[in-house]
Amino acid sequence: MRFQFKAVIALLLAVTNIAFADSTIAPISTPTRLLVLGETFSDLPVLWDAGEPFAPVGDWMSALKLHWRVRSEGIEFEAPNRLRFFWAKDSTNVTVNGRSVEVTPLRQQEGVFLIPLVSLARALGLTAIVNSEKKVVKLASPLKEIETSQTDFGLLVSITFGYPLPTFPKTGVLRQPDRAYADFTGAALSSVNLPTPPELTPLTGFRVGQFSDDPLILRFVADSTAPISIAVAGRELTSDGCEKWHLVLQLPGKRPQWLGQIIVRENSPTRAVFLLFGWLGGELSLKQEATTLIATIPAKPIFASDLTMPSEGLAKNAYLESDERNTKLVVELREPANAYWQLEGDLGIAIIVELASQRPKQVRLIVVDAGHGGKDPGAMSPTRQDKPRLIEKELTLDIAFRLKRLLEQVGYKVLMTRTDDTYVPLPTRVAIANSVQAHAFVSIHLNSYPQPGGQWGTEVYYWTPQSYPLAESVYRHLLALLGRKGNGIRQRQLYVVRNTNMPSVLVEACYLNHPEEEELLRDEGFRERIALAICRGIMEFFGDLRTLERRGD
Amino acid sequence: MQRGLKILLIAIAVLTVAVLLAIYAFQKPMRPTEPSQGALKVWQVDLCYPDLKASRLVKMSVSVSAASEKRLIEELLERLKNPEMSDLSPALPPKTKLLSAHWEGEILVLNLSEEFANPDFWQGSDVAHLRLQAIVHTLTSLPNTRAVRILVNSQVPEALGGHEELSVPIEPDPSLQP
Repeated sequence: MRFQFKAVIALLLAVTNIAFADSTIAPISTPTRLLVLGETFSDLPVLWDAGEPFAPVGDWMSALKLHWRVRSEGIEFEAPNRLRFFWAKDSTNVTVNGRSVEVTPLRQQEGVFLIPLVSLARALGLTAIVNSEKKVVKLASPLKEIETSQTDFGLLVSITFGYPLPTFPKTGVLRQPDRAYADFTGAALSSVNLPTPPELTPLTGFRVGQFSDDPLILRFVADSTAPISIAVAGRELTSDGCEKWHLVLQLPGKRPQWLGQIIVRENSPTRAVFLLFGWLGGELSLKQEATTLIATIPAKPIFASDLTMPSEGLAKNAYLESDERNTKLVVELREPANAYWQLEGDLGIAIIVELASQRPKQVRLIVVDAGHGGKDPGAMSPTRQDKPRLIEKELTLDIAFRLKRLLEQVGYKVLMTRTDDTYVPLPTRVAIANSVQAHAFVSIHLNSYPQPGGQWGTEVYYWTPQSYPLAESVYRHLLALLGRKGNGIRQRQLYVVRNTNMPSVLVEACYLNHPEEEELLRDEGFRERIALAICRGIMEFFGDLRTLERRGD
Repeated sequence: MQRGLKILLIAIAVLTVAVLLAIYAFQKPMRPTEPSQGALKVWQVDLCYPDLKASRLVKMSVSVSAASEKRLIEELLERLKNPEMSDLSPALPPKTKLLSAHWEGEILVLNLSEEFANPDFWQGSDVAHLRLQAIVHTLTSLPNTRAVRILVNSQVPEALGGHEELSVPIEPDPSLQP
């Protein structure tokens, strides 16, 4: 009896509920996956009405770097591309920087504004990709234009998007066939005219495609018949609120120094970071006097630099001074701090200023092994009438001494397996490193190929997994400072890297019997750069790059 | 009694011969057997060549007939000197001669002529390593051969090109597994 009564009540409630829902015809908020540029918001309560999605005002808008203020009569918007507008709650039009845009009116639910996403995209210059069946909405920055221009330092590629992207593009090179690419997260493909590659270059064409749909990644590709390098040169906002990214394509063999742009990446009370887009071959000097840091850069920026401080922090202000050859970045600090620079992959160089760490530094012992020696000359450059032959054993010793000096300058202890022109058997070299329990072992070599000129570039060898991070950091610094073709980090059972007990690498910096690299090796400055790259690779491996103090010079 | 003793002695002699034969058979279980003079035996071998451009070894499975183990190794070394494909590199200097070859357990000991150590042939870490490993990968594809020890004129030579140490037997580098 009691059960029957309960069933009747339940049935009545259900019928009432259906009737109530039918009478109001209220659309229901449905969990929706919203992709905003590079960020994903799952299960967002999005209202779907006549196939159009409406999202409640909330955190997802931060992914567009929007500033907004909710008022009773509507919402004020300010976008990172300097677009400003007020969206009145019943309005079917908004005026965005003087441009009238037709919109669906805002909705309101329990006092919260719901924004029609397709209209918002139209107002901001975004593309909205809506899948009402799967309940997925993507807000992406559309590709607008690709242009190229030839410069003294390489080919400048400028790619314009409708809305500022959330991150820096990721660049890289691929082999067989040679090509360079740049990935833009949060960007959507649209029909654009592709430029024609300039004549008399190895470039054969450009391509662009939607590399990934979720997350949205647009890939630009430059095809080539020879290895090329790619780097980010800077970004600019156009007057109509678009964002233009500049890339530089260079032949690694001909890499003049260049500086694209300088920006402030971070400014907190303990740390400030300046990003220098470009390729400087490591020729950057830092000098600090009291609270003024001066970075001397051997190039002039191609694009206007943005040195506005994003927040109050260690750096009070920064400005540029230029002379005929150099650019000086002057940073006024709130208090004296340590400053150093490090490579930021293909983005260029980061100058980092931070308050000194109180942690005592551990003294590490590095064994530096100059390859060959004595009766073993190693490789030799081809005989030339006007120049002496280069002998590997002499150059490796020269570079080893340079590396020793650099490592000792920054506080490492160094032991060399040979300090003069003597033959040291490989087992003895290994025994030296193992007996002193060195923290790292670096063997320096210069490469050779059976057919002179047939191969060129940089290689680093390792064997144990513990050595890979050292090989990786040394290799990365070598590529950045020497600008040669990267032939890879190779795992090989070479005697010295196999039998040493500590992280150990064998460096083949470049080819002694390649005409261009032979000429480079004749230059002391190039050999110093090899040593500097290895030194910085070791420092990065040990996490010591950050403790390098550069007071004075 | 005299006859019984004779039978016993014969039985002991037969048993001793049988035991000796069994020990001999266990000592040399799988080694490529030395065929009788003039008879050819066929071996399946993985010939490995360095592809220096791609920095890898290229494997070719071949059947090689030879009248003896030494002849087999001579034949393999000749083939390693002269790859049939133009994009592959020779694995040892052209004038190298095999002076002798024998096994010590699972280690094949090669005694080569001095041309083998020609430093010009072994320049560059990867080139030297790929070439030596092409020899080692090829010869360790023979039955019961784990490593190769290389002597030059019966002596342990200096490291090849200053890169490859030969004072110890060389095993195949697993990172180069073709």
